[in-house]
Amino acid sequence: MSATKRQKLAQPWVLLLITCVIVTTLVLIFPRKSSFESPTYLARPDVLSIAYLRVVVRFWPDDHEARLLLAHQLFTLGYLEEAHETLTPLIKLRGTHATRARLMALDISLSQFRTGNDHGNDDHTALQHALNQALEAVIMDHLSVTDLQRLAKLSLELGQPGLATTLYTRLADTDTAHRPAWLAEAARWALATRQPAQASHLYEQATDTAINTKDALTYALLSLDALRAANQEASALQRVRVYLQRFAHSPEGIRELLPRALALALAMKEPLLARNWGRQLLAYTPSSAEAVARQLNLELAARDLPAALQLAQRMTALRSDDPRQHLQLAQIAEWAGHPTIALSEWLWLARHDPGNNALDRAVLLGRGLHDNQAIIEMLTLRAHTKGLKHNEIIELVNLYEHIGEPEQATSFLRQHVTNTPRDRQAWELLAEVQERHNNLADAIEVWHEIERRFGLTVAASTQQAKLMWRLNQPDKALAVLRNISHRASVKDIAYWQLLGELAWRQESSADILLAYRTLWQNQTPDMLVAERLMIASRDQGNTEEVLTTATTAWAHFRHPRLLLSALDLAVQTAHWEDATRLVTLAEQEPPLFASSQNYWLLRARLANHDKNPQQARSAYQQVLSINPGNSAARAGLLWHFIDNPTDAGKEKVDLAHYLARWQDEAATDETLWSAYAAGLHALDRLEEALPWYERQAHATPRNTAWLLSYADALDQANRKDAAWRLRQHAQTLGGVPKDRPLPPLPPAAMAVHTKTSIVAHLEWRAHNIGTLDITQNNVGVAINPGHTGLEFHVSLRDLDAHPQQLSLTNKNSELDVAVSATLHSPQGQTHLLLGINQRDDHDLPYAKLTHRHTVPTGLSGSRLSAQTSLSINELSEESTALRVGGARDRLATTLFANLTQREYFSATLSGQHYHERKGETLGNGYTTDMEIGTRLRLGTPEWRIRVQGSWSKNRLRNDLPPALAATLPSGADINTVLPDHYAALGAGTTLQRDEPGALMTTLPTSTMTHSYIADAWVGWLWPAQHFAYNLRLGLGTSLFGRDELSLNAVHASSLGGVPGQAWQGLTLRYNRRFD
Amino acid sequence: MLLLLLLSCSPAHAKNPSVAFFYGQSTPLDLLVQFDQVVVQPEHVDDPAALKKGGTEVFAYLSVGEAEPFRSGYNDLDKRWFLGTNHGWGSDIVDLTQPGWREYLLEKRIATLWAKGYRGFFLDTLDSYLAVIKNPAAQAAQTHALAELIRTMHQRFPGIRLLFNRGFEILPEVADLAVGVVAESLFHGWSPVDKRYVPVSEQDRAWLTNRLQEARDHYHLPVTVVDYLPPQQRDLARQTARQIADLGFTPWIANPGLDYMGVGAIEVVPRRVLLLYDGQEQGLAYSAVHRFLALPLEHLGYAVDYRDVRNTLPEHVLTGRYAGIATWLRDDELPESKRYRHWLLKQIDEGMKIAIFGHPGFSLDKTFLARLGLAPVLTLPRAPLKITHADDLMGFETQPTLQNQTLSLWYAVEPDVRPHLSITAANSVRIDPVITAPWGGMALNPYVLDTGFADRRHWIINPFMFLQQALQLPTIPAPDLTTENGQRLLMAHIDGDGFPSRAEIPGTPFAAQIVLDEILKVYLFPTTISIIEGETGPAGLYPALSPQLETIAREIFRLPLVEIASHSYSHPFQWHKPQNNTMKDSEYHFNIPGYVFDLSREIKGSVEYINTRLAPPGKTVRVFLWSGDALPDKDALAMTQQLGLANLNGGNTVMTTEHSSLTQAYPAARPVDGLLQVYAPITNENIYTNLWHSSFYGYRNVLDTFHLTDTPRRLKPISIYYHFYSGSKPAAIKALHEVYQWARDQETLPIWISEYSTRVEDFERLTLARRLDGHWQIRGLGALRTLRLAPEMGWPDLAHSRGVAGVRDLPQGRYVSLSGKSSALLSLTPQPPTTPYLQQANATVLYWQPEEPSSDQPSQTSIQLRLQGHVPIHVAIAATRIAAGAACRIIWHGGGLDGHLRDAAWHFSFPVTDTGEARLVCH
Repeated sequence: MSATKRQKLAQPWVLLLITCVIVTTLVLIFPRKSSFESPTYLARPDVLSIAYLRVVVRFWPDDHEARLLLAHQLFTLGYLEEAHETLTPLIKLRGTHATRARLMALDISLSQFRTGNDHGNDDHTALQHALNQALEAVIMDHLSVTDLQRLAKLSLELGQPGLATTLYTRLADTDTAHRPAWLAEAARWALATRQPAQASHLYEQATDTAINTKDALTYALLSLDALRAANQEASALQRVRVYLQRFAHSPEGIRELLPRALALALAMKEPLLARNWGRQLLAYTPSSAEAVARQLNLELAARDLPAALQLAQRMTALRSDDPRQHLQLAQIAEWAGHPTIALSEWLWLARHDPGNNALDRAVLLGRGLHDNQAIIEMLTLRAHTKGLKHNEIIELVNLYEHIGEPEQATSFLRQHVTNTPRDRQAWELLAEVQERHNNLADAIEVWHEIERRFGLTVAASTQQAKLMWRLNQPDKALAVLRNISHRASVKDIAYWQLLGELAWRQESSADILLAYRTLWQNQTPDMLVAERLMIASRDQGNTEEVLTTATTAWAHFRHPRLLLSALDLAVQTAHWEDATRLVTLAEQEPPLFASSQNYWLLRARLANHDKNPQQARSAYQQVLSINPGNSAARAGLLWHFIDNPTDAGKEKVDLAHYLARWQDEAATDETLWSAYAAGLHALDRLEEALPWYERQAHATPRNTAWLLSYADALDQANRKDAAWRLRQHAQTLGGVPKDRPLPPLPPAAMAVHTKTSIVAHLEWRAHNIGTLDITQNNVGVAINPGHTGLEFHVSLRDLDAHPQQLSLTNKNSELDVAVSATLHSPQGQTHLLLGINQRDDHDLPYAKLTHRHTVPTGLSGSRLSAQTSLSINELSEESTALRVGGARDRLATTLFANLTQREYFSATLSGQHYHERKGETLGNGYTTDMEIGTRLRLGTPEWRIRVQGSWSKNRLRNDLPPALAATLPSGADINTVLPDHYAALGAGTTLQRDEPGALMTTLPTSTMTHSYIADAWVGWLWPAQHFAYNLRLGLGTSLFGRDELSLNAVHASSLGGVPGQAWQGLTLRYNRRFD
Repeated sequence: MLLLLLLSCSPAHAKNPSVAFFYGQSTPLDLLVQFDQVVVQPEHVDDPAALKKGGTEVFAYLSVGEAEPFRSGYNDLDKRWFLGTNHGWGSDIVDLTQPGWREYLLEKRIATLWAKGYRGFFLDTLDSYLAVIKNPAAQAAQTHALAELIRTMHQRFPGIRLLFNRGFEILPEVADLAVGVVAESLFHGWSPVDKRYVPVSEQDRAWLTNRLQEARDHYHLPVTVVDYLPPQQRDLARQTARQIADLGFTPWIANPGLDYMGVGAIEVVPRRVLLLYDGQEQGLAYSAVHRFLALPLEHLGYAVDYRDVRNTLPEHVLTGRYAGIATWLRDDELPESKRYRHWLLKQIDEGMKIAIFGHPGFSLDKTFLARLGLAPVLTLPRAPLKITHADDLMGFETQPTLQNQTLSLWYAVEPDVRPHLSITAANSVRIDPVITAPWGGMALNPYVLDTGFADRRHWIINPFMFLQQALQLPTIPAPDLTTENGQRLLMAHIDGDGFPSRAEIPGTPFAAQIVLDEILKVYLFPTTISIIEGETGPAGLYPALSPQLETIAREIFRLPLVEIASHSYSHPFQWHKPQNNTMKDSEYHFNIPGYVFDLSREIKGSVEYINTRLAPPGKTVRVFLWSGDALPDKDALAMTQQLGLANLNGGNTVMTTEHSSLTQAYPAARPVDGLLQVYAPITNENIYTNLWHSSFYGYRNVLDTFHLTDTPRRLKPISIYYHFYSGSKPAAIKALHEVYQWARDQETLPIWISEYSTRVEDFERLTLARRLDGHWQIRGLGALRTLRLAPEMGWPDLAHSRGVAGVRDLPQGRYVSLSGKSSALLSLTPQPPTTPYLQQANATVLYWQPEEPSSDQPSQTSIQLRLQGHVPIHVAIAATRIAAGAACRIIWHGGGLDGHLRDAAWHFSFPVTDTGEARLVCH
């Protein structure tokens, strides 16, 4: 209420005066106020006191004390309304009294409220309101601690925690001694009023003001909690940092704060902060698995993998049996880039449970870490559990080898195939490993096992063969390959290659051809294949294939060797068109062939064939420009000059030039001999040419064409006889052209030999006829043997026999001297032999005349000849007795016919007169011999087979002449000497190269070489009715060039139809020719 | 034996120096060093120092009494000085009284030679004037002038040593100025007019013998007699030498040209074989003679020279210089076959033995065949063929199987031709592809080598037997490269390849680190180790890694048992680029950016790099290890030689149980234009691992090679050879462990590569000679200290030998240990030594000198010795007779060592690798 609103009633001065008077009066009469102060009657409220006080108040309304007292007493006595009214004037004021008034009014209201409550006053809300108003009114006043405490409690009582907060806050301000506690209390009630921020603030203040660390910590924690409750995490985070610093020296504080800090950091998504506070927190409980786990998560959240790894390791250590920890560690280790640690955990996990994927991880990491042992362990583990896939088997095997333990690989595979014998791939792998490990024999065994279990395959056999070859068993290897050739397809390249290679080494033509033909037709072209195919084809005579292959291969490889070998074959086999085509191909690449001697030689031969001498000459000269010493080119060039004379004679000049130039070397160069012979002949230097003819004849003694050329040269040199003999010899060799029949020997040559040849011989011979052994030494000389000439020989023989079988008194040695003459004519020859057989008992002269006549038939290869002979006192060896004591006279005619070039026939009819040496007749008889045969092989050697039959019939005297009987044991009769009839039929065969021992007499000097004969005959004899056979073996050879040493051996099981007359002999003869 | 004893007592052997005369071109200095004195044509010996160095005194030929038209300065001579002509030799007999002639001799001839280093002169034609001057007074004038000339020589050239050829007339005056007298034709002479050898008449021999005895006995001059016999009559030459020696003179029997190694007081036993190959085939390195023949010859103790038959062949007499000639050609298409044929015939005529392998090289004509005792087969053999004869020379590694291809068609016809294999065809044709004969022998395709799987070859013939029989090689003390002091040599070396490779083991360290940690620090063998600069250096392929790699290299090189080597800068794959190649330069070596091949950079540059950056103080590169094809050319070899480096690598000796053929073994070295490339004795792990493609454990198969090259013949030392990349594979590392562990368990003498290389060079250089008393004289020794005896040769006679320390009898041979001197004398006896001798040691003998027994302790044997090696030394001293109570002790600066008797030998173990001066005392 304002003074300005009062009404003026009198003059001021009057008023002033009155007032003064009154006042003075009053002052004077009015009891002193002090007299009312604390009068004893005021001590207890009662009516009196109340009245009194009412008066006072009335009179001294401004006596606040009185009013207050009045109000108090009224209140005390339950005059609540009045008390309140009394106080009303004060309430609106300020100051202490007003405060007291308001406090009292509050009490009154409270009392009213309570009373109201107690009496179920319906106006509770109003009371409440009033009370609140009262309370609100008072709390702004300066209150004592006690009031404040009371009011605070009151406010709480009234359900006004907010006011309580305020009051406690004021308490904190007022009661500074207990400020932290009041602040905390205020905070508490602030929380109660959902004012966490305020509460936090209050706590913070409490914390700040708390003297006791413990309290401070408590408040701090509460403060933080309150902040969090206020959703002020950021602030809380800031505050917790502060608190952490503040309580840095209080482990307990830190320990209490850190969890909140951690939570705040997490809440604020500050993982690093959280990780760091977590680390600090973990330090307090290092062995706590939970703490470690928590921190592990923090570290992971902070992406600090190394730290997480460490924690994971700690966790694993703390819970070593917990697979989850190992798994976690393995994963973290992998994330952290510690595969080694991870591997060990995966290994643990795999060992713990092989079924999980840890094994795969371990293998994977093991590969990356080159931890072969780990992989091996894992794969082995898997092998023992669920088994390995093939690629894993391969890996395991490779690993064993990788660590240098192939034996382990083998052992593993052996075990594996034992357990799973149907795993073919494993078997093959085992074989491969053993091969790599050089256990080749074992590898072969495994391949055998594979074959046994799974059947034969080309690949397996190829592999086996390869291994066998490596073991240096090429024969076995080839056999293995051959065994499966029927199953090999063209796609089995390795098979064909190996077959080809092995066959090539083994020189197995058929296999070579098969393999390389297959390869050539089905494989990418290969030079080696082509060449070998060409060689094999050539060896098989398949010229067409060689040429085709060469042409194709040339297109691929352009290698000169291909064309050269084909060209060579084409020229050799007279495939001239092909040769021309090959040359055309070669001319596409001239540099490849420019320096090839062989190429130019072949070109020359082709040119010769094409009758292009200039080109041939150019080719030869090309060869000589490459190699001046090339013999073939020299010979070719010489032949060029020989064969291509011109009118100008330039060639002859060149020929003479080259012949002179190369003469020294030609003497030792067989290639040039024929050219020199022909060249010198062409130059009419015949005498110089003949030695070259002779050399060439020596070098190629069976080259009939050359022999005939030589013969022509001899003819021209007026050596008719030698020429004739050479031609005759050439004819015996066969192959003489039809247009070169043997010309008649020129009469002049028959009369006078242009050149005489003499052959001397020495002979030692031993043979037996039954029990008679005859050893003989011969010496003889033949002039122009085999031709018109003379021959002398002397033989000295020793005869020996068992005395009981044959008496040889005066008969045990013989000297035989003979001379013979031979006359050759174009139609045949005549031979006369005269001799004497001297013996102590009786000398026996003998003679024989033979004439042979040959008649050409005009048919190819056929010839007919007839021979007639007459012999007197001919020594006869039909039996031992006849040889020693008898002889025979014989007239015989033989017809011999060459039916064709191969078949022949002969028949002989003879009549004999047998007599004792002194002439006494033993008997007469006749004999027919027939033989028909064929030559299975013509030329040299000759091979004949024949059927032969003989029939003899004798008319014998009845007894033995005394002279003959004396030589025989008692009881011997005429049949001991001769059979009365005799027949033989059999078949024989002869393999013959010339005639050993007669070589010198039949062949010219230049052809002297070795000879042999092998003859066998088997047949049946009558009347003895037994089987018989003859064998003959003979060998002859030249020792020093113009001589012959021969050895002949003969064995006949029976002779002449006389029983027990086996015949066997050995003859050693040496002939020496002197021309 | 009695003969040897008598010979050894003859005066000539006792005091006369051995003398040889050699006037030919291409003077065999290596052989002449066997002699005490050698007379040469100075025009043919540029530097006499080579001979002097070996202890041989050299005399230059000097014609005193005749002027030779071929000498330089002849045309300047005054023809009035000539008294006549020696028609035999085409020279002019000079008037010795002519001052001009004397001036010519002293100032033109002697002074010139003196300046070249000649101090000895062989004065020839001293008495030529007697042929033209018959007047006694005139003769006396000449004699006097000659004596004056001799004196002037001494005055003008103080210290000059003169050897007189005859000069009996002047001996009374100047004998004291001569060091010896020589005379020709005591038993066998030469008629220069008739150009033929002539026997010396008894009368002439008596006269000359008297003169010579007078020179010897009266003037006390050693006398040498030169007799003339054709080279092919070597047995007669030996017999004549003995006759001359028995007279107390020093013999020299040679041809009149004196251009062949004749027979003298000692007979040089030629231990070189000339091997001929066709250079157009594949070059020497791949030639069959080199690949297949050199090794057997080496094992027999023979060294080889190679010649390309397409080049000029030696025209001088080879008899006496070569033990034989062997050829191995692949076809018969030599372009100049006639020249070659002629040359071969000449050699056969001169008595050289020829062994022909494979193909003769040309088509043998009847004449040539006849000279060989063969005849051609004129008829083609018809199948089937059959082996009708094969003796023990055949079937060495595989039995012969019938083959038609390339069969040479001839057969033996002479009785002294011995077929070792005969094949008879269905048509009775006989072929003798393998024969030996007095002239040599032939072993022809396809019966020499069998070619099997993957071109693997096996010997069909026994190459040792065939070479011995065909070349008629005498059994010699074989210089040996495999063994020393009774123990097999052991070496290890590493090529630098793969140094930076990562090992395929956990952690993938550098392969070099693995080798260092797992091998080099574990197995304490001497090892020669190389690096490739291009791999480790900053200027290489991996500059970023270089610091790490160099650190490892330095650590390796610091190891005391490591010898440093270079493996080039860029690892050339081929050291000699083929002609007409189309490959880029960079394809021939590591493709180091910006680098173009430079030989100097490869060798010199890489060596400098190692020396300056990697080698520790006091160590430098000693060896160059060839890379790639390991076929250096002359320039490359010369560069290593210039740098003083040993060189090694190449050769691919690998023998396994699967392919154990001797054809797999390479010789010790490859000569290149006078230089020598030393092959690695046994090849590296690359070969055992399919070129490092698979079977990385394969190197353990080298143990097979070690075994197969040890038995039945010890052909190679143990050589562990690999690359750093072996450290990159677990299997390879394991294999290395196996190999090293095996080697550690063997009895070996470990050496460095450089030491082996020196031994190989010695093997090439060493010469042998046989004295008339039968003792073997060995010269040219250096580092090589082993001779191998065939058991039938007996044992070393230690009392009469010099430079011999001991012997060890092993199944592979009797290995004689030499004492390290440059020459040795080996006397042989049927009995083993009875006095203490070196049986085995794992270190090299530097010194071994038995002391004379003292009179007061006659039963005591003392030997001064020093051994030096790379590992703590173990020595075994043996004696055949060990008396009861006997004991041996070694006194050295470390104190005394008592021997422990085991297996008839005293064993001593030193804690050091060098015994220092030590003394073995056995009671």
